[in-house]
Amino acid sequence: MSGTRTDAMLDDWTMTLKIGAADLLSSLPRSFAIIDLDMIFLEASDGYLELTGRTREQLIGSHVFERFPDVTSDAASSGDIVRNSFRRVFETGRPDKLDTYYYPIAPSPDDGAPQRRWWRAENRPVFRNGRVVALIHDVEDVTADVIAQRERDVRDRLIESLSDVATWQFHPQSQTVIASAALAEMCELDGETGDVLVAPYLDRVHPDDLERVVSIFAANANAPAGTSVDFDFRVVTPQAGERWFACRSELVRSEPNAPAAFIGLSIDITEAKMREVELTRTITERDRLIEQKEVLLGEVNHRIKNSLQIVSSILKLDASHAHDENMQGRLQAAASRVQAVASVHELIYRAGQVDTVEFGEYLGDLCRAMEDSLPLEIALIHESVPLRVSTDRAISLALLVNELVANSATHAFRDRKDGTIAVRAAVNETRLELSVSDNGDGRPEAPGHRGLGTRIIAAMVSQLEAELRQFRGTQGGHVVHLSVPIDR
Amino acid sequence: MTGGDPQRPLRVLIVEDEALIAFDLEAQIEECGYEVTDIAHSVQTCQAAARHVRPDVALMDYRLKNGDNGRDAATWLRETLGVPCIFLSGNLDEATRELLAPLDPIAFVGKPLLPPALRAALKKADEARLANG
Repeated sequence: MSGTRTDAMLDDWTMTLKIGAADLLSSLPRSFAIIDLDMIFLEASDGYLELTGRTREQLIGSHVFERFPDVTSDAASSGDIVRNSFRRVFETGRPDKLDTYYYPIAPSPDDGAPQRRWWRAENRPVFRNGRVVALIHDVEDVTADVIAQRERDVRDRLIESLSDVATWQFHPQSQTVIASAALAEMCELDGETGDVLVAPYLDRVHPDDLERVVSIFAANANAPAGTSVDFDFRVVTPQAGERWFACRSELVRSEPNAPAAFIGLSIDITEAKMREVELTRTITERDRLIEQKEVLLGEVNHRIKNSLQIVSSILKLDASHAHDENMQGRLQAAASRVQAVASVHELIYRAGQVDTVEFGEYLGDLCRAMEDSLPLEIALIHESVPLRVSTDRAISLALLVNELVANSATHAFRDRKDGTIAVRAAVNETRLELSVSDNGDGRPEAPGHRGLGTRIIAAMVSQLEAELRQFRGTQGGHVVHLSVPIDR
Repeated sequence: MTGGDPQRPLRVLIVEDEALIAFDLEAQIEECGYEVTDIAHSVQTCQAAARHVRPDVALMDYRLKNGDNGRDAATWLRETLGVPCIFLSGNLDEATRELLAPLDPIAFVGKPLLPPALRAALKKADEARLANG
């Protein structure tokens, strides 16, 4: 029997080398224990002690299942699996292999909480005089392998459960791909499922996108496991033609230094891409129309300004041909009012903005235009500030300033020929403070005379919700002050 | 009863938010020999003016400032005081005219305002007043 020979050989060696059997056993580069028929530890190798976290003193002479109590509660418990294997060896005298089995043990005798451990063992009989007297329990810890395998299983099951999703696993090194049926169908590649060459799939990639797709995988070949690799590209198939695919994948490695593989899925996003293209086209078209509208609005304002200019000119012509001085004055005043409205449209046209105008700029234009129609000896000066006001209010303000300046020009300098009229604008927090002052000889009263100018002033003040005050200037002359709420 | 008095001129309330246009309307109405009771520029001022002096007819701009609508003012005049309107507006489409039909307007007068059209509408309003009297 082989067992007898082993005993004899051991005796020979120990005698020759003058070392004890226990010393020899403990140094063998394996993790094993020798267990007798009563399941008492007789001996254990250094490897076994290291694996179980126990000292020789803690084990030798103690019962296997007292040292490592079975904590599982299944019907076919882990304890039974090991105990039955031991019994088989003792009863049959034949080695007994235990494939991967679960047997939790505490990390040390003091630390009571058992940890999840998986093992693989071979139990071999030890014979003396032809009878089994003990067994060698040769054991290996396979916990890490089992956990890794479980993770692989979970991943495989997940991939399987996504069978109607186009999943794939690409191995750049072997230029192969594990393609799902759904991917093959999407690419119109019947039968190209399972572990196949990647070439037919790459042939489906749009020629303009192929280089980019290949380079994405190449660029990530040395990236760490878990790196996300996402990209979109076009696919051209015989039936469906050109379509857009979105790929979401992750880099995986079977072992830390193994070549990269990419596991991922592909989604047909053609519809979304088409909407995107359509949207871009619509936005471009909209921008073009807005631009066209602005050009047209500018054109309209230009024409309004021209038409008003013509009306103003007609009135001025009429004025110059009128023999009656009173009539001449009225026609000139009318021409000036029309001119004031025209100046706002001129500004809208120049600035290219329809709903608001720059008040400071407009006031300057208006004053220059009015100065032209005043007698040469009267100077019109203006100070202004930048401020945007709505077009409606700008027209009211234009008419108001026009009337106030005309009033001063007509009434302030009756006893002299020269004078100065000043138009000043300032802004405080919420109001436009506008004044028209002159250095004339006092306020022309017009008792009971509700002329058109006075009515226009009253109407515009009310329309602007402004406050109007009139007073004598500190250095003489007359001041009309307007406080106008700013429409912000 | 006062409505039908042939001894006094037609009374017109102007509801128009653009002051200069209102002045022009006022001058034209007075030239026809009618009387302008007041110039209003919003629903609120229209109500105040009409309560003060009840007009025979209102000359109503369809679009007023600050989002006010001539239709609201006209509905109030019609339901509270039984005053009809002449609607003034540059571009009243068919849908708007249909919307205003239940208010039984005397006429729709376009902008820009042509004096003969305004005169004809006012004459119609005066005849209606005398007939109802």
